[in-house]
Amino acid sequence: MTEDSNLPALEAVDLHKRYGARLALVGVSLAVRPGEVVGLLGPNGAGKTTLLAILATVMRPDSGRVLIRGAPSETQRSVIGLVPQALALYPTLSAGQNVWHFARMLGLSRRAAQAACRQVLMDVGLAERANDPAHTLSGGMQRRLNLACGIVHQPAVLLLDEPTVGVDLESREHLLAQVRRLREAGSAVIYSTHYMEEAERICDRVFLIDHGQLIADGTVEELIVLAGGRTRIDLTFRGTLADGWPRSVSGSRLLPSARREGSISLELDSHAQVGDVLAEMRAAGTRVLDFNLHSTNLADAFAALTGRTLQDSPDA
Amino acid sequence: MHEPGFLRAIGLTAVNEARLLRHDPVALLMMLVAPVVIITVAGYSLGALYGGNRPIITVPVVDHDGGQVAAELMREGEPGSGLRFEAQTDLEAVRRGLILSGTSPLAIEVPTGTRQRILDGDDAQLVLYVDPARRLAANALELELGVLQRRAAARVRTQTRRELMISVRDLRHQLRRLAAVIRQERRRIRSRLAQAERDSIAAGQARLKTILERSKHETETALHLAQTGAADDLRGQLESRAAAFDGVRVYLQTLATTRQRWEDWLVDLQTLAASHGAKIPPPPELPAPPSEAELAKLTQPLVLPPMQLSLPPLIIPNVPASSPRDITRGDDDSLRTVVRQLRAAALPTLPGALDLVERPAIDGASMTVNAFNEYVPGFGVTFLLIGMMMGVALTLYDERDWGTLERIQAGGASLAGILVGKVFARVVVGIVQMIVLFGVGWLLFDISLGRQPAILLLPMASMALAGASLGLVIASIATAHDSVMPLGTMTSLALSAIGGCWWPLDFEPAWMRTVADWLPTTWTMQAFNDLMIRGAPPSAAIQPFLITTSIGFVLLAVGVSAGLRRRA
Repeated sequence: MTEDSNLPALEAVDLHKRYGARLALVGVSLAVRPGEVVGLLGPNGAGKTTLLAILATVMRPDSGRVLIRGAPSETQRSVIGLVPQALALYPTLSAGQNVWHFARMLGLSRRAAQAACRQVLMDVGLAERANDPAHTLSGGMQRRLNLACGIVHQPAVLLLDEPTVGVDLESREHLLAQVRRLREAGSAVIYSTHYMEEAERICDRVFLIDHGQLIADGTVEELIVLAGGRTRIDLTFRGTLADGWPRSVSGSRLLPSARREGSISLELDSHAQVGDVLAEMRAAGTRVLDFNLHSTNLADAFAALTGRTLQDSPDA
Repeated sequence: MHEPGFLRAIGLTAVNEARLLRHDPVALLMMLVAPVVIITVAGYSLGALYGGNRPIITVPVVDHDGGQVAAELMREGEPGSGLRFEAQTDLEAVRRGLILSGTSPLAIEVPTGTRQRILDGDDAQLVLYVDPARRLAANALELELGVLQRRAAARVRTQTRRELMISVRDLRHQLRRLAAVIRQERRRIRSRLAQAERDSIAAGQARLKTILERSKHETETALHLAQTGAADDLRGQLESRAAAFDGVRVYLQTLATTRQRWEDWLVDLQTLAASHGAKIPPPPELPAPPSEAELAKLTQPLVLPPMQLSLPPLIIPNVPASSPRDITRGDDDSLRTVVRQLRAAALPTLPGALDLVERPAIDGASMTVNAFNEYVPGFGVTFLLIGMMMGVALTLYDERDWGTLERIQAGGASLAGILVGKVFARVVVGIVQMIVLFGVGWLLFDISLGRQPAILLLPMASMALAGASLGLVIASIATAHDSVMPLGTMTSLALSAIGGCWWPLDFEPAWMRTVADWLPTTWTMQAFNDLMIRGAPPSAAIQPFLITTSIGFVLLAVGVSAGLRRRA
């Protein structure tokens, strides 16, 4: 991983991809530096998997190009690591055999493969289950093995497509730890996920993608700021509130779309205004049954930027 | 670290395929156990088609002829013939039972008058009632019945020939006796004819004698009359002569007396004269002779009066122109000729039976066919094809579904190398599979491995290549994992069937055989049949190997090309 730091480890330029009449990617361009973890966020069908497939060279774009360390990606495939969303394992082979096969197919020599396999299985916590067939491992273990197969050759570019879907907490921590380790080793990582919390934890930058287009690109903080960066409080109460309420909390804004019978959401400038809101509700004779304080996150940013939530389907 | 090249991809893919197969008991079962089961079932079930042993079949025989023909048939169904005949009486029940019981695919009826027709020298027929649903078994059984029929006919013909020879011998003996009788009769006839001849001659002679006697009498009468006349005439003449002769006679008598006296005188004289004989006086004078006229009469020729004979005409009786002896001789010759011709005549011979005798078309080949020699390679090729097609096509789809193929490709492995590697791995697996099947066949079913068993590797390898490559083509044609199975199964079974893996190509119509010329299964089966059944030399496998291998490489090129296009 002694690459020229001035060169992006991965660069996509004006990628277009169409499936029949449906546009999957529209002019997507991005760049990832070595040692950088970039999150790829978007609802289902936004084009994440298509983008990852093109970046991994297993799919060809209709137009545009992908460069790895400045060279066409087709010539640099041995430095790409792909961890697909679905498990990409030989179910009847053991964990060790799976990792070994991919290590060899990814270009490692026999000797290097032996060492790499041993190491990666330890890293993902599967050393003791190395001889067990993959299909006998738990879902979380299979996810870890899936990651191990993608990183066994220490790729310069690692593409992770929702690697933590359906895994337990322990496995998730293992996975995230490995991603961090690779970042420290200088790998450029694109991390596609639904989980905002994961993206916020490990991603240096985040790409928001929707309808095949990159709609925002920046650090988590930058995107939150871009989305307004306000605090939201959701209240459940008994009683009635007068129109124009709350008058005494400056800068607060009632979110009309969130108002229902017995519940209400407010945007606040800061957390410090929460006490004022609760006091005013008591003063209004309503009884607060529950409240939930919500800081602005990437989902809010996405919603703010697109008007849709990350759980929406693209056609919704 | 570098991208794995084409050859490396082939090698790693092949190793991984073997590893995957080792962990796939179902595939191993399909490759090894299933073929052995099917081969065993097929070999024992269909072995009779190739002349193998089969259970004894009891064939119902309904005899409406009441006898000998059915008895002859029953006698043929002796132990060891594979057939047993069971006499039945109710034809309709037999026909119904044929379908229901399923023991025999056909029943035999001996129609009324069959024996008589045979005895009369006419053609006769047995009626076979055949279960149409078991046409193939009926055909095989009819072949066996044909053998029995020829055997029975040959036996009857031999017996007839023997009886004919005895008849001929008796006939010749009777002919000889007849000839003897004829000879004896001929002699008797000849004797009678001779007697008749003699009687005829005697009668003729008697008749002739009568005629001659009558003629003699008449002649004598005529002669007597003529003689009497002549005698009278002569008598007159003689009386005249006698008168003349009387004077002469007197003279002569006087002369004789005178001569006596003279003689006496002379004697006296001579005696008296003794010494004076000369002195003897002259002799006395002699009497005068008769007159001239009288003497002329004496010299006058005697004239016989002409005899007037009036003889009756001599009537000679008719005598037969040919003697009876000649006629007898002529009949005898004719009869002898006839007998000789009968003896020498070439007697009409009973035509011999035209039987069939099988000989191997290739020197050294065995005439006894072990059905497993056909079914081990036949079903081996079938399961090889299934294994190759499923092994390549299904695992390709499995890898696509698992995502491993995408992951490997993302790592830079050559897709062509992966595809060829899969084919190569399956070729090796297929060869091993065939070796195992042939080994089991050799151990359990005593199949022939030909002159050089190692040569069998050629058709095994070429077929494995063609099958695996075809699997690649199937994978490129199939649109989904689920469509691989029907497509691959249909292709495997069709190739096996048309290529002669399950039955001889001769069963197929001409157009299908034309299609078969383009199939790898056809050439592979030809090689196996040549090496295993026909006992051909190893060189017989070269042409099928080259053709099948060529087909395999063409399919491989098509499959890889289609795979690469599909990825693009």
